[in-house]
Amino acid sequence: MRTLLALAWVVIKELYRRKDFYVLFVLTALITLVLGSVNFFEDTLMVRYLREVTLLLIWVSALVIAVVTAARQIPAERESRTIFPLLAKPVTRGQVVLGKFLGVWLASGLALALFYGFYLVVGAWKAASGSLALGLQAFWLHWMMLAVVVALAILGSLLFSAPSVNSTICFVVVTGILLLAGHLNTLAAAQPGPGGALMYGLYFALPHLELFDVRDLMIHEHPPVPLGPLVIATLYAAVYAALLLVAAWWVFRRKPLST
Amino acid sequence: MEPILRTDRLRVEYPPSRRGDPPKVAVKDLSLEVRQGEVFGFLGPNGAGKTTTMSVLLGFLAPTAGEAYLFGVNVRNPIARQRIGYLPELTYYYRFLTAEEILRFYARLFGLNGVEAERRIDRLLKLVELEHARNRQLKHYSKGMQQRVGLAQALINDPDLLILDEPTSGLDPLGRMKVREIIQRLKQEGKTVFFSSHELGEVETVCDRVAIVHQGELKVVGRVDELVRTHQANLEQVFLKIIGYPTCLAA
Amino acid sequence: MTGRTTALGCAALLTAAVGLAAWLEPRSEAWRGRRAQADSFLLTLLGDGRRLFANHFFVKADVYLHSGFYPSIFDQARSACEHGLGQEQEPDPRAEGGQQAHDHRVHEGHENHAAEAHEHHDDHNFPGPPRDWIDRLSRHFRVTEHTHLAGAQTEAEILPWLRLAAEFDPHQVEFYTVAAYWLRSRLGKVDQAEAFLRRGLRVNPNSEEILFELGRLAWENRKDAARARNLWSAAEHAWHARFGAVDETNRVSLRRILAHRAQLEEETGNVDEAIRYWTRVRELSPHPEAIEQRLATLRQRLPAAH
Repeated sequence: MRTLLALAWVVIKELYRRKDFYVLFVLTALITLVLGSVNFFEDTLMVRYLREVTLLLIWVSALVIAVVTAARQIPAERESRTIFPLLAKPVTRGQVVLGKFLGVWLASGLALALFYGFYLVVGAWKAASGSLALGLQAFWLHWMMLAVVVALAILGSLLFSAPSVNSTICFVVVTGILLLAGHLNTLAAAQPGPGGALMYGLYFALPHLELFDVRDLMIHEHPPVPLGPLVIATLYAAVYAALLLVAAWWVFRRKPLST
Repeated sequence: MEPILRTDRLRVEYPPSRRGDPPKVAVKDLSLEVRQGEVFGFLGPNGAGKTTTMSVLLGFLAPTAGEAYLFGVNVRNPIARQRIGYLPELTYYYRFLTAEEILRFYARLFGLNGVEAERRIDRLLKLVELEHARNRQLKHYSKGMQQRVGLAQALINDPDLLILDEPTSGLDPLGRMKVREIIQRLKQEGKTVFFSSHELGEVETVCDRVAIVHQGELKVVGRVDELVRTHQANLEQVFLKIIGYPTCLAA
Repeated sequence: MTGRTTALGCAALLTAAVGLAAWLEPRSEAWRGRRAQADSFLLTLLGDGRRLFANHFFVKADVYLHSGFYPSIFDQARSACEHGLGQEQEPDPRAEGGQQAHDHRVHEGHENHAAEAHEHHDDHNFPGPPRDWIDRLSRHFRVTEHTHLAGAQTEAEILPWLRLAAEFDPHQVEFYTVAAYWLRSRLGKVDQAEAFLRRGLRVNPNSEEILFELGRLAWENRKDAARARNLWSAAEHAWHARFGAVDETNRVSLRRILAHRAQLEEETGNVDEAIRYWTRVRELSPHPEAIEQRLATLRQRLPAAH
């Protein structure tokens, strides 16, 4: 655990010393504040559209931070050759994968906490903070979803040579899952034969990231999610993240590193 | 006494670049022993298999056949690296960290924390003369300064075996002298140093024993003074002779 | 360098700058070409793609109206497969009968095409029973309760999307009329509704729908019969200018204009005019018998009126 935390600490340092995060945060804040200041029919009480836009920006920013940070970790170690002094220490490749995952996940969580803090500030500004319990649940579910995304990006970084290729593929896959995965059963039911079976297969195999998206509940002020489904969703994310990390470790341990 | 470093019929093959071609043999059945307290030079021309052998010792590559051991522990086990320090030929470290943070990070990987880690960091920064720049991020360091950070990180765990890959490559004369001094000092402290170098004059100065490899094969291993005496020539001439380079041309 | 040289240098630079600007300006206009005629920055930026955004925002307003309870396109497709599409609902004869039930439907936004499917799913028990454990679990994380916005404060939440939709596609008159309905009828913002409709009219001059809505606003909110008459007359002219002859696709819009005009005349005691307009409505109505009853009642009032 000590090794994992040490590896994670480097990733967190990297995130807050790079400019990407600040750019995204300032951009999110700026767009939200500009939209919040727009006068729609001289009504100052409208808040749901602002929640929607802020949460969308938070989702996009968090995804960008998580994917880009995770995708560059191991390739950057190899490219800058820092992997060699690192692996020359009593550190296994599995620990490198896990440490990088932990670092990106924790760093994304810190960034996410700041973004959700900003969301609360926006709510307070418009005198419509919404349910704090649901806000905390949204943060937690979002963070758990990012665990799957980060694990996916780390696996991708070991399969694809360029981080940009990996990031693009991750964005497409995650967006595709968020938009379509929940509807694959509907599509499968409408399609008989092997096509339908394939869709059912995908439906049960893909991680259902849309489970972790409770933005509509927040925007429209619905009650929080019951504890049972919340725990199940957490375990669901943990299982998928673990499977992806095992796959990443399996790929990495077979990869020769030539100095 | 159990050797500190041992390879037993070590063989490394790289897959062919084209289907149908035979695999490229980088190391051919290399058997080598390095004993405690010696400074061991690992010599060979470019492409001889030195870096590949070091990669196996450090766990970067899995051997095709044979085994390698550090302190009697198979190198496949990460515990084997608990008591070693490694300085790569090209030193690149996390550019966004300061020298102090990098050393702290590596100290943590060895399980060092708190007062002991800070004490070692202070001592090493003083040793490599980087105390004044300890809180500066590495992206602001010169190449020589980065090399010195590399040396400091290699010593953070107070290793019993130091593996140095071309440690003076790209350094100015002052930097080389500093590295030589540090190797001498480690030798006096009873540490074992295993290093590769093209600087044969330097090797002759600091090494107790050397091994010369060529095209993946071990050509000779022995004490530097014995080799020089046997061949009636300096180490450079011995080296050229062994790798089959006409010494008259060298002269 | 002396002060005089500096001043001369500055003057020379200024002259060169003004000269360059004068030389560039006509070239820039020529280069801009059709871009100069673009009616908005968004048109230049997105081209026809802005209509997709506009429609998305319009649907978003409907989603907000239902507090996020809304079928996806996949659910709509499934519903269409299972129950068949194109089941036209029978028009409510009362709508032309002067009861104004049509006009005062709570969700006037449902008149739009975007909401049709939603209405449809509503009838067929969306989202239906869960198909599998993932579906069952996912329902805890999305809106599964069908509620509507209620009260001025929450109903206003749909307006930003309507406004954005109009920004992205200013030629869709539906965006103005729906927004105006909510502003004047539900939120009591008559001035805002009128201003928005007039803005729509500037972009879509001769839009019979906007003129019709302005007429409604004048009559129903301001009780200005003369203005409402003028606006509905203008709407009728605009309708004739646009369509010429009546067919199945445009019948309803003309009927609405005439029915409102007839109602106005009836309420202001112009029985002759009311009869004239109701007679025209009868010709367009799929339920002429209901209108005939109304005409009969009016004819009974005719002698008294004279």
